[in-house]
Amino acid sequence: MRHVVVSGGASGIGEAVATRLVRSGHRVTILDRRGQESLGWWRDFSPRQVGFLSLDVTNQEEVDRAVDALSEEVPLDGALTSAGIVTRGALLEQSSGDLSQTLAVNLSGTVNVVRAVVRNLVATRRSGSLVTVSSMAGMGYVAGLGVGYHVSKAAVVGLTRSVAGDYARHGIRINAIAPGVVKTPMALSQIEQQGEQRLAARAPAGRLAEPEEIAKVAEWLLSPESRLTTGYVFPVDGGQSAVTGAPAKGYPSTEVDTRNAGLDSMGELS
Amino acid sequence: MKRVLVTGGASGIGAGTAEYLAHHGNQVSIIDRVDSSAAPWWHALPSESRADWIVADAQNRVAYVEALKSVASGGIDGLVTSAGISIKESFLDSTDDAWDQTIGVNLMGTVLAAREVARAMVAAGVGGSIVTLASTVGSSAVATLGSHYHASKGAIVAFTKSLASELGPYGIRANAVAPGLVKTPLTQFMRETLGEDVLTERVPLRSMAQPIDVARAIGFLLSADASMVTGQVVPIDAGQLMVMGQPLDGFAEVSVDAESIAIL
Repeated sequence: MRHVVVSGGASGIGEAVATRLVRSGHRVTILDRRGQESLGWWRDFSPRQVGFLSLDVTNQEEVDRAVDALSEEVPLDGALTSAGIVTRGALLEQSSGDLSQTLAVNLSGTVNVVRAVVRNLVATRRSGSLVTVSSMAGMGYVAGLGVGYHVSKAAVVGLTRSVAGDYARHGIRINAIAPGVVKTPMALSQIEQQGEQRLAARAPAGRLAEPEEIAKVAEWLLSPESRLTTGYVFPVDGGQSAVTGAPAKGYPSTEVDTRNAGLDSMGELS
Repeated sequence: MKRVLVTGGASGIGAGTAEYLAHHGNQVSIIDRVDSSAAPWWHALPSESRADWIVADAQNRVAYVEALKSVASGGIDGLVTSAGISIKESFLDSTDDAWDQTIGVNLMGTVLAAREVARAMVAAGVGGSIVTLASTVGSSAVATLGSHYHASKGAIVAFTKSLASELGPYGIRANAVAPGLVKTPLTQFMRETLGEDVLTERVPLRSMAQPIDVARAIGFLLSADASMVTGQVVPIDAGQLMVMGQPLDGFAEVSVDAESIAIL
């Protein structure tokens, strides 16, 4: 049994990771600005299986206190930092309030959780694995995602590599995942405005990702299966980042769903 | 039972991967220029996990394609192209022969295998997953490994992205793994000339991979757990690829048990 902190765990990718981990017997503590009543599945598990702290990740003191407290109950092994917001204004349109709010949550919020968890792991001499959440917009240009989101998600990449290099000596690994468009509440307005098929046609997969599909990659990075991978930005994007010139009409939706293709899962992660 | 072909499965990463996949409930076929079908590890596998072992060399294209067709025609869900060679020559002294051999085995061997297998997957209409063997040398220079080896691995990276794009509509995913230094026969020369300490000081996690480490990443990419992953190059490199300037005295020893650098 391992203990993983999941920031932004009350919805979207964070929630998908939290539920998968809890169901396979690990302890998860969710940090989210929402209250725990926002989680439908909460009642299925005991407080020993899943903890919930309602807090704002931009508040460094609150995060530090929370991480110290929750590791006293059960020592920590890692984290997924998925608290994030999206703002869409281009440089000349985005208000400075929106820009600084995006940087506060996506960058400072991630720094706060990563710092508190790494400090805790180093102090307790425990090895661990962290996964941050970047984006296609952290690796390149994505139309419609605006300046604040691009800057913050690229900064998450820099944070991840810096920590990977400096804390490897403590047995700490850290990688980022870089999802394309995922069917989460955060992407809802984008999907409604631009159309699911149009967004999906940008990538070879020809469909949008389910949160569960992102969660499986995050889980692999948290597990010992990936013990020699660190400082990597893992795109989970249906191939979007591999393509700089898509076919004229985009990629069609496929007849074969990749969730039913290839080999079966290598099994429960140890 | 899912069917998977591993080229270059007689040794190194290929053998480690074949063994790993067989132990995880898959039926494995091997094509290699070497016949190690008498090896104990192959015989130790459950008999239903062992399909064909065909001896064929990628440099003999007619025979190689024939071997690929015979495996693929039985139905196939996954492919791992790990047949690869590295020839020790400096660029200035490099010979046309070494270039032809390296590109012939590493790049063309990968291309031929992917083409036959993808054709069979498309014909069957079931989708599938392909994993090619790139390397840290596919995107950056690593001293003592030949320029032909670098060129072949770089080509495999671009080829794999193109595969992902063309085969995506058929439900076929294509990804590469990029191992750093792995304890295999291919890296023996490098490990002996430079010494293992010098090599591990370059990487943040201070470790050298075993074939099983690469096999685990390949298994993940082949499986439906990676259903949204295609066109990617996944490093198993102890952090080597992200480093643009290592500490002057190398990376420090890892102070906790390196085997436990992982959770869950």
